[in-house]
This record gives sequence, C-alpha cells and structure tokens, in this order.
Amino acid sequence: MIRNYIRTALRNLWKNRFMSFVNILGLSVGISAALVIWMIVHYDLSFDRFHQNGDRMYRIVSRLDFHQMIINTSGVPIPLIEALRSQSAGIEETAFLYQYSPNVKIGERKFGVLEKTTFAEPEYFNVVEYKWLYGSPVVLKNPLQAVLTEERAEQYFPGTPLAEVIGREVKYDDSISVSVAGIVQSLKGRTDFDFQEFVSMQTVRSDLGMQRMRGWDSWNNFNSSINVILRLRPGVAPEKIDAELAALIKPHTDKDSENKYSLQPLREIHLDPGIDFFGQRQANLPVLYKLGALVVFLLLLGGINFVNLQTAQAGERAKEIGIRKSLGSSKSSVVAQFLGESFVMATFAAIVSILLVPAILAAFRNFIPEGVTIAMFAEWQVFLFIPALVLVVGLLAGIYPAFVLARFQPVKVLKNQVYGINSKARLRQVLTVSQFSIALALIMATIIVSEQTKYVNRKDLGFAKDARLFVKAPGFRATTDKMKDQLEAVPEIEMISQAYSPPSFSGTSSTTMSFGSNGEIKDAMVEMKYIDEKYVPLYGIKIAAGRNLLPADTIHEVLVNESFAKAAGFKTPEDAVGQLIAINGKKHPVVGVVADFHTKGMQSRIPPLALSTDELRKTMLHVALRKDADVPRALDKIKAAWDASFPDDDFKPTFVDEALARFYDSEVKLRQLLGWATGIAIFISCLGLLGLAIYATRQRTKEIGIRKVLGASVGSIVVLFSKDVTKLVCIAAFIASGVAWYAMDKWLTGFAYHIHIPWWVFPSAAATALLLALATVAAQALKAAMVNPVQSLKSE
Amino acid sequence: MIQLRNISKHYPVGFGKHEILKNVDMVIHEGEFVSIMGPSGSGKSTLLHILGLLEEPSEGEYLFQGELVHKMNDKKRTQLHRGAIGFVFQAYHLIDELTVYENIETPLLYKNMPSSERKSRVADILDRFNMVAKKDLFPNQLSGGQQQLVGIARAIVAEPSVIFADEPTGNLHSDQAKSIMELFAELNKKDGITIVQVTHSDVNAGYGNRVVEIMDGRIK
Repeated sequence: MIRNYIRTALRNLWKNRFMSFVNILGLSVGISAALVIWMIVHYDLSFDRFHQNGDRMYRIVSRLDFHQMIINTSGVPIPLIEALRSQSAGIEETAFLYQYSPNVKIGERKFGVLEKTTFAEPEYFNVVEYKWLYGSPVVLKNPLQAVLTEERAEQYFPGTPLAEVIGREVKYDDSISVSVAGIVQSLKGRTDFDFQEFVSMQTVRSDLGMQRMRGWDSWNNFNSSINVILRLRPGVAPEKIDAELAALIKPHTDKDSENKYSLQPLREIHLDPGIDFFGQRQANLPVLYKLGALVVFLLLLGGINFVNLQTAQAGERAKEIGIRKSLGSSKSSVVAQFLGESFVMATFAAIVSILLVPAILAAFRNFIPEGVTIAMFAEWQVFLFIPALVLVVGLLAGIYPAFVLARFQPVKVLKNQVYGINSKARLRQVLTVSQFSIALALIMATIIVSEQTKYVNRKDLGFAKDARLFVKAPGFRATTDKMKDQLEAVPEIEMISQAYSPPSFSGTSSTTMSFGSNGEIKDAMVEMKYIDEKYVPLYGIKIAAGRNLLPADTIHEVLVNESFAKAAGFKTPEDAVGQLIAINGKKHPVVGVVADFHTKGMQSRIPPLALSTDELRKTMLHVALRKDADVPRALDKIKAAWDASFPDDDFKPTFVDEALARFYDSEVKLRQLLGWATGIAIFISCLGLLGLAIYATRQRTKEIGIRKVLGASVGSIVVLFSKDVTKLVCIAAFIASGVAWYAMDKWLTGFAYHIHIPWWVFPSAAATALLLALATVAAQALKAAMVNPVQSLKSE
Repeated sequence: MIQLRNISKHYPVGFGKHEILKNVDMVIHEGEFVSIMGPSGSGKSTLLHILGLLEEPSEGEYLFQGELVHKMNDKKRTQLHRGAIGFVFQAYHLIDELTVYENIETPLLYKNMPSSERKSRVADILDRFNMVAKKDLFPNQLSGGQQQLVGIARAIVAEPSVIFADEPTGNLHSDQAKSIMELFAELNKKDGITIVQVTHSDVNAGYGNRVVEIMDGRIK
C-alpha cells in the first residue's frame, strides 16, 4: 500500500512539476535555516559536557555593586584563594588560573603577543583532566616552568620531536625565561578551556615585582584574568559555598558593600555572555531565540505555500479520492496517503536543504561561530534532526490538506460536483494575508533599522572623528616621548596628544567624585578621561565655558562636561567654572566646561564626565592628520618612527571612525540578517502567489474565454484577477504596520538617541509588496487573457 | 440480498425540497442481472448510488445482505466497499497516475491481501481480459473500450458479490458496448455475480434478466 501511495505521490509531483518546485523550494529555505540554527544551538550547548565530574565543577563569579554601576565579573581576589583552600571543607579541589598574554621570543625568533597562555598550578590538572605526553602536573610546582600543548610545541619548535622540546627555553616580555617541562594533549571535544601554554604560578609567587604589578595581596582586586574553577565534594550544595565566600570576603570590604559572590555551574559558563571567560566567544541565548523565531517564520511561509497549493489542487485530486473511496479506501487511508505526499515533499526539501547548508554557512560566516561546520552532520544530534524536521514539517504542512481531501464525498466527486478552488478560497486568503503580513513586517523592520543606522552615523558626535587615529604605546615613557618628538616633525601630522582613551571608547574608567555647591553629587562613580592639553583641540571638542587644561603630571585642574555641570546643579556652564570638585577625596578646581560629546554609541545617554591630566595613565598616542594629508604615506612615516622606537612591538593603529563603527556591529549584523530574511520571505510569498495564480487562471480558462467572447478587453480581465490580490496585500499591510510599529518602537528604545519612525515606511513597504504581488499575478492573468477564446472553449 | 423499503431521497431547495426518489420498494435477489431504466433526471443514478452505499436515503430502510445499512458505521461500509461491492462508472474513473496493473491492484491493497496472492489475482484477470501486454500503460494511453475493460477488471478483482454499473457503455461506440455487455452477462452466469446496471439502451437491458423502470422518482 505504501508503495502504491509513494508511487502516486511521485507521479503527482512530476505531473505538477512547477508546483512541486515551488513547494520544495519554499520548504527547503525554512528547513535549511532551521538546520543551521540547530547546528549553532547544538554547538553552543555541547561545550564542556565531557569533563569527569563536570556536574561538580563551578567557577566563582561576583556581582560588584558600585552604587551607580553594577559590574559582573569572574575575577577573584588572590588572597581569597588561599583562604578557600585552608577554610572551606566543601571544596575538593581549587584551580587558580591567571591568564597571561606575553610577548614571546625563542632565541632570536619573535612570536609577538600570544593569547591562550595562563599561569597555573598543578591543582588545575586535578580539576580539568589532560592527557600528559611528557612530564606530569608536578613540574608546575617550581618557578619558571612551562607546559605546552602539542600544537603550541609545534608552533614554537616546528619539526622538533616532542621529546627534544622538553628543556628548551621560551622568553616572555624580554625578561622572563622559562623552560618547557611538560607537554599535554589539547582537550578533545568542545571546550572553553583551550589554553595552549601553562606557566607555573610559582613564577609569579617568587617574583615580588610581578606580584606588586598585579595587586597580589589586594582583597579588592577583581581582575577578570584571574579565575577560580573548583570542584565540590559530592553532595555539597553550591549555595553553602556562596555563603562561605561572602563570609570570607566581607571583613576585607566596606561594611555596607552589597557585593554578591556565587558559584556558577560549569555548563552555564559558555551560555553567560554577561560574564566573560578569558575572552572566549560565548553563546548569546536571546540572539539564538530570535533566530529561532525567524526560522519558525520561514518554515511557516513555506508551509503556507504547501497548504495553499495543495488545497487549490484539491479539485484535481478529488476524482482520485472519490475512486479510491468507492474501491474501499477509508478516510484514514486517504489521510495517510496525502500525509505521505507531504512527507515525500518534505524529504525532497530536506535533501535540497542539506545541499544549501554549505552555502548558508559561507554567506553568514559573520554570524556563525567558527566551529559550526558541515562536519557537524556526523554528530547524531545534528544528523537525526533532519528526519525529525521532515516529520514535523511534513505533518504540520500536510495534516490540514489531508483532512480537507479526505472529507470529500465520493458521490459528489464522481458526479463532478467538487470545485476545490472555491470551497477553500477563504482559508487560502487568510493564509496568503498571513504570509504577506510576515513579509511586509520584515520589509518595514529592515527600513527602520537602516534609517536608524543612517541616523547614528550622521549624528553630530560633538567631536571630530575623521583622519584621527590612536595607538597604544607599549610602555616606557621616555621612548614614547622621544617618538612623539620625531612625529612632530612629520608634515602630514597636524597635532599629537598623549592621553588615555579617545572620546568614544568601549572601555570606561570611573572614579568616586563629589561635585556641586549643595552636595548634589556625593561620592558617586563618575566617568573620567585622562588627557593632556592637546586632546581638546585635537578632537575639536568645544569649550562651553572657561578654558582648556594646563599641562600637569597629576590630576590638577579638571574639565567637566555640560551633563555633569547640570547634574551637579549648575544652571549655566559658567556657574560651574571655578568651583571645586573632589576626586577620590582630593579637591581640584574646575577650570572649564566642555560641550557634551558622545562617549559611547547612540545606545547610551551621554554620561556626566570629568577630564583631567595624569601622567601615568597617558598610555595612548592620538594623532590628527592634516586634512589634505596622503593617509598611507603618513601611516608609513608614523610606522617608521614606531619601528625605530619599539622594534619588538607591532604597529597597530586604530582610526577613530573605525572604532566608532564597532559600536554598531550588532545593528549592522541585524540589518544584514533582516535584509536576507526579507528577501527570502518576499520570494517565498510571491512564489506561492504565483502558484495560486496559475491555478486560478487554469480553473477560470473557460470563464475568461466566455468573457472575451462577450467583449471583455485583455485589460479588464487582468484587472479582474488583480483585484483580489490587491485587497489581500492591503489587509496584510495594515496588520504588518501595527506589528512592525510596535516591535520597532520597542527596539528603538534600546538607543538613547533614536529616530522617530517615519510615516512613509508603511505605505512605501506596502507599495513595494503590492507591486511585486501584482506583477506575479498580472503576468499569469495576461497570459490567460491573451489566449484566443476559441481554444479555451473548445477544450472543455 | 438487497431490499429497499419505502426509500425516498430529497434535497432542500430554497424553502421547499426537491424530490428525487419517492417511496421506492425493490428487492434484488442473489444472481440477478437487473437493469434500471428511465429518462434523464428520473432518479436512476441516485438510486444506484444509494444501492452502492455512496449516498444515504432521506427516508426508508435499506437492507444489504440482511443488514440495515443506516445502522452501519463508516468502517463497516468501507468493509463492504472493499469486499462485497464493485463499481463500474460511465466515465471509467481510473486513477490517472497509476498503470493498468496498479489500478487493478488497488482494491486488493485496501483489502490488505498478501503480495503473492495479489500478484496472481491481478495476473489472472489480466489474462482473462487479454490485457497482459497493456499492463504497464497509463489510462490515457488506452481507448475508451479498453479503459472500461480495466474498470470492470478492477471491479471484479476483489470478487464482489454485486457490481453496480452506472451507464457502463455510455461513452463507448456500439462494437465496444457489445463486448462489454457480453462480459457482464458472462460474469453474471459463470461467476454468479449479481449485477445492477443503469442504462438508456434497450439493447443493453436485453442482456439482463429483469428491467426496473423508473419515472419521476417512482418505480413503474
């Protein structure tokens, strides 16, 4: 029986080749999107699931409350680690990791700054299990010892047998020489523990200079490159340790501190982008949920085509059903037969999708984690997802048409009384409206997102961003000063400033301040920029009142921005000039007020800000090029000066406008993604409409013939067919406008500075969709209307 | 085997009703070959559909093999379509997507007959109707007479006790009609299948052993 069904299904697919093509293409787009998203989800959910006793592994995370600012961090103060080891009974093993990014040199060969290196103790290897090829964890008990992975060993000493790598010397930052004491295999399986090089923690412990630089003894140093991974004893509740953490840290912090400390289970680390894990890419679940919703929409669009075309075809299939019923087919076997057909269709769509996946992975490289590749098809969770998807899609798309078809009364069918196309026309209209609502809402969203991106790029930032670049100097003030002097002589350079960050910068540095004659601002965390006297003119920042800073080595004079002056209760900028501001308890005069400028992307409001001098924090060199300067040549000259001063460090300048663009990375990605989704949605919807139009004209061939004999013009027939579609698209436009307005208004609240949704978005999106829909339908109607009526009437 | 008691059939039309059959009483015995005759619109096709369990009467009782039809559930009726009843239609009503062989095989598939038995039954029928050479052709590759032959083959392959034929030769020319009617007569005599046909033609009615005339929904 099943063979009989599959045979009729395949022959029917072939007979209605074009409709099958429409259905398969529509479904395959949704299926392939679902497949790719599932691959990403599975990839992200399968991180660090292979560890022995992984269910007892945790990392310490802290929620630091600075009153005005909450910081979530995985950083751990180092004294806490010893305290935990000696005082907590519930912990079986504590691994203390200290990430390190040294500038590596072996002999005369330079490797530059290498990531994925960490200080570690032998205990780490008791928590995370590695396979040791040479040596054992004990080697890390001594200072100046390093353990490499196979890959790192091969990178450092290409072609050298591993046995001979042991004992070789590696030099960090031109000052620390360590010798290779062990080699391990990298962890197999997906993991965020992808360190390549472990340096004995004893190296830091035995070097007072390094300890001081890293705040070794401070209970208040929550540096995110210092992490603790621990394993609890069986049966110990993590909440118990949370309480112990608070009890251990409390005596060393402010009495009224509201900081919270807790253990985060291993399996949640990869899924918590709010707390970084040594800079690893983490999964962003809300983004995955949104992508999931998009997939559902795409599957829905394809499914709607299937339902529409299948019920439109019902009239043609009805005869077969009538015969089968008279031969003894029960209702359920008709349902089974047509469900079978939709499964066959879904299977074809799945095959097409599998072929599409590599193309999708390539097209969306920027959105997809690197580890997600075609090779994942070998994992059963991905492999079995395909038949599961076929089953679900086949069932959801097929169940309704199957029941519609099974309900036909055989006697009516055999008496030629069934007109499938009319009886279910209302449903098809509803489905078509839903389809176009989705497509239209996507068009509207795309327009609004791109209008907002245009706005953020055009908005005056309050400072000059073009032809300005900054570069982090690697230290040694004297050398930097010397280089600066050299650069002053370069004709292409207009001005140089030594300061900390550029006006807009992803990082923030904040300090406790009090300001305002009546104590409006008291001991609040306020953002601070460390600059020199050239910074304000270099970036073209306007001074609203008072004057610029004078050169100084420490915090001496202070500039505040207008927002800060206002927040401190001064009515005009002039009122703030000459007042005293307390920074970290020390009072300084405010000599000027600068006009507000954006310190972050348009997502954030301009915060109160203070600017002052501090010799120690001027770690970046800011350069403004002349307007007419030849940029590549100027860069060459700066690089030459850099190479002469810092031969061991790469010259990595950043242009201010490029750094600004990074604030909008996710918006740019969203716009791209929406653009794709919109295109696909319109494509699938129009494809479905085309299918329906072909059916409608085929069904009404005779009517068209009769109308033409009675004197109808080609134009009037095209109008007749286009009227319905126009109505449907207009209804869809209303629905979509509401949905899009609501959703995008919400999205825009994510920006402190945003556009108001322009009214023209809605009619222009509707007009676009209507044009496409009409073009699809009218072409078919035109074709039918051009046929000589003699032919269409004869064929009946 | 078939007994109709006071059967009526009407459709609602506007506020009134359109009567198609009025108080029909009829008995058909096993092994009979009955022809139902009457002018267009007299209700003979409706009567046949009621007999074939494709339509339900508005009033009256119908006993098929001694059982009350209106008390049967869908499953039981489907069961009868699978085994006891065969249909032959004026427009042949073959499944266009299936070959001759597959069309004949379909009723047996619904009976869940094992594959080997199915094959031999279909082969026997093809042999008997001289259609072995045409078994892999599709309906649209056959002439009308050949299609009706396939239709009859399909009707008898499941060995029904009764065949209902709705103007089986209506679309055929006289030579073809003659051979089809001879085939019906043979099935009736040799195989003992009860046959009920609707026809316009006195010639065709002559092949049967009883004529039921119907006029304006009543049996004369």
